[in-house]
Amino acid sequence: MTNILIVDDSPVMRTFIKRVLSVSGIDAGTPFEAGHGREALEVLRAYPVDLVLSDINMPEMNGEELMRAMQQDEALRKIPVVVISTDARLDRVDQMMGMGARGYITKPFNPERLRTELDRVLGVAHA
Amino acid sequence: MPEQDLHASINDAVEQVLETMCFSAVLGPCETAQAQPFLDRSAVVDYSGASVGSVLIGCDEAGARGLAANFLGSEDASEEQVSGFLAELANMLCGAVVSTLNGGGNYSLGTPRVVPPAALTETGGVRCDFEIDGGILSVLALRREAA
Repeated sequence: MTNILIVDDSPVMRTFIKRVLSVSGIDAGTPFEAGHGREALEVLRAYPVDLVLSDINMPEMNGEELMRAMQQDEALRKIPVVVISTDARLDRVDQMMGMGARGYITKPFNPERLRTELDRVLGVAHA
Repeated sequence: MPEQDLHASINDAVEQVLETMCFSAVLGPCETAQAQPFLDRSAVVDYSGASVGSVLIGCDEAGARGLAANFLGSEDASEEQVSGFLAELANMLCGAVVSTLNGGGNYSLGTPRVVPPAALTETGGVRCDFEIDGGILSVLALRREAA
């Protein structure tokens, strides 16, 4: 099972992502959730998380700040982060990948897109 | 961007978002919606960059609840969830529309907000109305010149 942390300030988007993970056939159990970066760091320091799915624009601590904090923490820097955002600008994608994001999914996205990206990031071969 | 292109951009955005995120489809243009300046629910997202503006969406109650149910996979979405869904819908539509403005130049989006039923008739805007499963969805794109 892959322990996934969903970081988004929108509860309905977190619900949607959980649903998509479920129908995608990804064995994610019950994903962890956080409403912003600071909450995410608390979860990451308390539980074993294999992958983070994070929005960028959030209150308190945004996705960029979360990634920066993870990079500065020896215990967290190897956890892959996949960004999920409405921001489709190529320079934004490049910026986030340059900061260490392992993947970038632009909303809207379908279950197949999420599955493909997570398989790629987690190194799972397609059937 | 010419008004006709903005129409096409809104149409594409609505079709794509409804299909991929709401597992739903646009049934066609809604000819009767123009007579309704206000719909039951509204949400708006402001954008800024090479131009400044907003994308405002309006939805009747049945349409909003139907789309929210599809998005969440639950027929009994709470009031808070329906509002949250509309804010997200406005966010995704605004993101998709502004990515086509001026070749997808440098734009940033504001925080999506649920607002009281808002006028969908503001001068200078491009409005598109859609018949969706069980209701109506309207999108109004307003552009202003950057200061």
